[in-house]
Amino acid sequence: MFHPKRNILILLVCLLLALPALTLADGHGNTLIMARAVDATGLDPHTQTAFASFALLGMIYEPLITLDRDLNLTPALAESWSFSEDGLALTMNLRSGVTFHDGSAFDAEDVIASYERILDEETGSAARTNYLSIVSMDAPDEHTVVFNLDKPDVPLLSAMSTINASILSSDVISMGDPAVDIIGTGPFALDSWVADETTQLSANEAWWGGEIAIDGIEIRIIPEETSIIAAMRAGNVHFAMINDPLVATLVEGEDDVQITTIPTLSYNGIQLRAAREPLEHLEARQAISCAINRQEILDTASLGQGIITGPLTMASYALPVSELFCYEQDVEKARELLAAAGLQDGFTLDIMVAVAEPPTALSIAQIVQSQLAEVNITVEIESLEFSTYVDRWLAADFMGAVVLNSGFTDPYPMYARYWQEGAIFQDVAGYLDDTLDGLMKAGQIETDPDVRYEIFRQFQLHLAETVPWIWLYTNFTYTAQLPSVMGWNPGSNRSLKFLADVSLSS
Amino acid sequence: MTRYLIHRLLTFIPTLFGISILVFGAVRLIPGDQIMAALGTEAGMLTDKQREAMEVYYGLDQPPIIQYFRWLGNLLQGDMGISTRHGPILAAILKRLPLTIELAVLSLSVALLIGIPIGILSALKHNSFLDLAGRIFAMIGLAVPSFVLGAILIYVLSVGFGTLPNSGNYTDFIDDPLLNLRQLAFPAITLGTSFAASVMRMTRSSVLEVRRESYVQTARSKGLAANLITRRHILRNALIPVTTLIGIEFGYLLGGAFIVEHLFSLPGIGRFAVFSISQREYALIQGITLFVALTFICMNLLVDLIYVALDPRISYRDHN
Repeated sequence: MFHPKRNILILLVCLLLALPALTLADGHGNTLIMARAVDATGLDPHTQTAFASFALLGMIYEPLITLDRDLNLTPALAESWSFSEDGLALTMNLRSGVTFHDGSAFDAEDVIASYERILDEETGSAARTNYLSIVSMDAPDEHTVVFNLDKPDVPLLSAMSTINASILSSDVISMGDPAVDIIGTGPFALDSWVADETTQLSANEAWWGGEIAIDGIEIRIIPEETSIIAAMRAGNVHFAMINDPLVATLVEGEDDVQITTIPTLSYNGIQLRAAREPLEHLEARQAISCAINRQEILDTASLGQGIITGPLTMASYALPVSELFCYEQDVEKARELLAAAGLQDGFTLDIMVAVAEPPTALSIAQIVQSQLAEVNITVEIESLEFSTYVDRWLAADFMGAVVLNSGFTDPYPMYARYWQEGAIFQDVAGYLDDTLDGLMKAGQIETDPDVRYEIFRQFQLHLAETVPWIWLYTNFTYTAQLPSVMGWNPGSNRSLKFLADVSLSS
Repeated sequence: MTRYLIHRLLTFIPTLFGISILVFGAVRLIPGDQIMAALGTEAGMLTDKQREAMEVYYGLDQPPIIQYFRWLGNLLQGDMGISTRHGPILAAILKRLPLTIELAVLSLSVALLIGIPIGILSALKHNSFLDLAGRIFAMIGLAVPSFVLGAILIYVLSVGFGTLPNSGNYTDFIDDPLLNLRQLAFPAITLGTSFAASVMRMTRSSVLEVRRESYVQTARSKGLAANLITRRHILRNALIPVTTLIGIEFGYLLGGAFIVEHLFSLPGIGRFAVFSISQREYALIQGITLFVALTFICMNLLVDLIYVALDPRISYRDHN
């Protein structure tokens, strides 16, 4: 007999009974369960460019030099280093007793093989340009490598601290495939990687950096960050990386899930192309800078989760924004500047944004649109799919573009690609003058820290005044962790290598 | 019947061939390529020689037409290519397909278990409070998108009950059936709810229509029991359009799985497709699309065959 009422009742009762039974107790043991929304795009450290890849590979591989919690250069696989008097030789004294995850010993041969691979065009390393001053390498003994340079290159040290400069086993380079044979010297060894799903890491018991309190890390890819937080509330995930400020601020103040805010060196801004009429008028660009309210943009687009910044974002070089030209909104001054350029009736500024890259891009453009309307500058927003945006950006086919650009710990590699004669993105940057070119060249070879600071102080003041771009604010990134995760302290460094210091309380 | 079946199976070939051309062309019309997707603006840092080396690595060094025929030739030999991130593509798809099919089947079960009884009840109690409640359910089910319902379910489960059955630790049915069903229960409810609403509406209108048919009136006048009339005469006939709906919607369930798998972090074919598109993995996108298309047309064939079982008036007998 068919009893629809009874069937519905049975179904509902079953569903209700099932709910309490759904509480799962994951048998984690001493393995840290971590979640993040995006996985690495690949595992070859020399060719990766995405932060998602760096985050994973930074736990597995190590460069010669690394960054501490305050982003200062600190020894990693090299115990110490020194430049020759003329700055044309950089000597690296390698750490002894270091082994790769496969048990083989680390020595000078691995360093030379790794740098030869980075410099080899066949490798396809986008970071290769940062190491082009290296003309040859010598190994006087198995724990010393001398890099011979064609010119003094102070920023080379900073470039050597990135994951792109990771040291691979020379055996893997010569006989294996670095995209598949993942053997590093870092605190964690890769056990398995199922792209976009899970990664299993185990603690490297032979790590030179000391004992690791956890057995390993299981990284789960959960594409929705709200679902990551839900998994943490359910106690199924210990630790997570969060990018969306909205998600991070949602759980602020909760006892069960703690948020750690980490400043980043990346900056949001609007790239202008001064080559385009009427942006070739200095006053037109300056008017834009004066007419916008950076704090309002930060508060609205990113819920105040960031810091207003000038061109340099690293604490050791960044100037207070009060010293920079027109960082306080001054609409009257903007109108005067436009009048001086003969643009009192305003003009149209086309700004392109990539959809969701970053998620705040469109909001930034819309707020700028409303602010510039006050001085008769009409902003036309073009919202583009990311690849189209990249295509147009690389072709310098835009008037203005909302960007989220990476930062560096050293000013030179951060901008050498834009503000230097012959720079690879000089056309994209859309502006260059002799002052900028001279300051960049001086900054590359200057070894005196005080003189170098002054060079880049002038560099920032000049950029803020000539306004080739509009710098807005730096972002925060976040980690979320359960109270059972002890000892997590990334400082200002978002590298996950500091997970080597954490332990799990019962 | 056999000839009909062979004829239908033969039509699969031009259909899949057409789809292969469409998808091959469509993915290449999207600006950018795998190199640009992997490197973003850093792609501009590559020298010409570096770019050429990467094009060879990603198999982009040949003109599209040669890429197509090379891919098609390999496909006919059962080789769908190799993904730089996922290894052999056929194995990667086959590994993820069962989860999506299981999710679609469970969602279908949810939809039928909810939609058919409520639809029948609504029709049998036409214009009653129960009918009104059923119609309100259908309206809500159709109006609430699956990503909203899924997000609400996740929130309620994690905040209200302190639980979330799947937190990126999906377990196969073979490894742990109970855990697997727990993990798929809420995604299936999410995906099945709007389908349940469609099934309910179709069942209701169909039952109402059949109830007015003369053979039902005849059965009643013959004094047959109401339950017997409902089961034997009304339901059997009313379910034919519902079957058609199921056949069509099953394909959409596979499409809907894209969102639900993403939301509930299920490593099925939908989530795989989303990641493949974002990474511009051409061979993967092509392979997944072909598989989904194949499933879709197989379902259509299956539905046509089910008609025969449901309606004796329909026959695919061979004609001389």
